[in-house]
Amino acid sequence: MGVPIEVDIPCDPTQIDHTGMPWTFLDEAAHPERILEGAIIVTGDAEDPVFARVASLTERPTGVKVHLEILPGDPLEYVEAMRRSHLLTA
Amino acid sequence: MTGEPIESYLRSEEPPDDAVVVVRGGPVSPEKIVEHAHRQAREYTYRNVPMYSISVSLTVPGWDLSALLAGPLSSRSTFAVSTAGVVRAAGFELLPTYEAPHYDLLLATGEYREAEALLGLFGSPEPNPYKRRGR
Repeated sequence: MGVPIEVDIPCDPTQIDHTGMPWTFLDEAAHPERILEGAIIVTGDAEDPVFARVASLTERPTGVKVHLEILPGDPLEYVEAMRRSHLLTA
Repeated sequence: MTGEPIESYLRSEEPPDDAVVVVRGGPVSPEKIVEHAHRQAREYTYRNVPMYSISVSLTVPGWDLSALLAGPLSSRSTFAVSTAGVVRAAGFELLPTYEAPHYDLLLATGEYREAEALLGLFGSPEPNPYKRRGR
């Protein structure tokens, strides 16, 4: 049995706001210290994970709001490309 | 802590009853409806109370189902559909928020039983043919 998938921060990629970007709250992250502006992270949920870039962190009355830029494609496509180019073993 | 009123982000449009309402997958489950509705209620209010809602996409003018699945839903592996008429007849309100084709589907409580009732209005989850897969 494989290791369970753990996203860096959960979100609903279709839950957008006025920016047009999906968003979530920093305190939902498993490791909030990894959620830095510009960082590439795994989001969505364990059943349907996606890669994203952290677009911004904004202080709100209800918490720190994290806007995410969802990256195209499936995470496995990135892994396959890295395998092809030996980036994982270089 | 108070949320931001959603009213300033509403569009003025009324979707026809036969407009297809698409709820996103990954998975289409009551647990995810509850999680997403509570996140929304933490950030937004509607009519001065916390706004329990989920994001859905509708086949409004300029958007057919294929365009939704290849566009706003392209990162989702599965999806389920209902219609605006069925959803509204069951007492759920559809708010046109931000840019089309985005809507918020309002829930009264955002609790599990309500999420189950809502999903009972949708068909079975189907794979999104526009979601690309690694090999």
